[in-house]
Amino acid sequence: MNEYIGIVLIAFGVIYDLLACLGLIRMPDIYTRLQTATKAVTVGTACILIGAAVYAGPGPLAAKALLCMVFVLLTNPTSAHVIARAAHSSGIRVERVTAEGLMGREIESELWDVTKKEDTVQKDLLMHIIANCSIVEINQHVNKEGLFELVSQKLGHIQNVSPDVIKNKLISREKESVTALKPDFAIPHIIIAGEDSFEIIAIRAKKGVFFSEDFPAVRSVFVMSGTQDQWSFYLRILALIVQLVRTEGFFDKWLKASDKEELRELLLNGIKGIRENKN
Amino acid sequence: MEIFIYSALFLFILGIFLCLGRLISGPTAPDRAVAIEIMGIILVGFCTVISILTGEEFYMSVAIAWALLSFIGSLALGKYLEGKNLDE
Repeated sequence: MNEYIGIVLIAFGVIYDLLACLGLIRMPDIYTRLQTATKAVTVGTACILIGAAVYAGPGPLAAKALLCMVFVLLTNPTSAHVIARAAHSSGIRVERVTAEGLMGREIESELWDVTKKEDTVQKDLLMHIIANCSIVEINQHVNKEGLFELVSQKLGHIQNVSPDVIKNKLISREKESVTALKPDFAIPHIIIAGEDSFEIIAIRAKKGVFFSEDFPAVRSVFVMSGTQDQWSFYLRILALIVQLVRTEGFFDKWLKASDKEELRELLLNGIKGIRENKN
Repeated sequence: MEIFIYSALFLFILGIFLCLGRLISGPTAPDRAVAIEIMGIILVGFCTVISILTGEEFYMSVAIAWALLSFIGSLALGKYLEGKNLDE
């Protein structure tokens, strides 16, 4: 009986070894050859040695076979690792051989799906930011200092930064160049310390805010304040706002909207419209 | 029963010839090192099978020695291929 078990184990091991040799011939580069050959050969030879021990029965031959099996199991993976490391450090590259089905369109379309998904996530974040931004209405005449005072109070409260810091930053940003743009909107923006925070405040000033001689009455102001790591939002939102205010009839609707929620609705619908046009 | 042992020996020789094919065709030095290593381990199996065919435990000792020597040889080859001295 023991002989039969031994023969079965040896047959199993021999087939494993032979398949490993076949892999050594068939595989395209050194790393895959190592992968197929050494693992299969380790298991196969260990099987043969156990089979020999079972076949011979208790005795010195079996003892030596088991000892040899321990050696093979310990040394073979180690030497495979050494060779792989040597191959890697002597600069051998992985061969780019993939199955036909994996090349061309399939992998490309998969990558495309992944990027599109990430894009939608980003877009949803933008929508989320705008859907939750605070909207301010100013019904009397103000100059830009007054506006900054008001905005910095609000932003300081939301972002937990001292209002004076925000006000100073807004004023010095304004000194560098005027943030008001044609037609009739302004986009003051600052970078604050910290991370993971981005706020936008939309302001409707029916009677206009005095920014400079060129822009005496700016009626819509979008103040953005974000940390450095969130700065990509700034560029995206800026692009959206510029497109938004250039759409026809935006300012009419902007001035006619009866309350804050209607203004927010107007912003969100405008952005949706821009996106649908793009698609 | 012996027919199984003989066919196992035949398959081993076939495997060794496949390894020799890789040893000759290369194309890089690590490829040849892998071929030598696999050949060594297959020879361990070969010795084991001969040992149970003849009933001599002497061949088992050869197998143990071969396993250890092929390990040391692979380590030395690996170091050499990495371009380092043996004491590094």
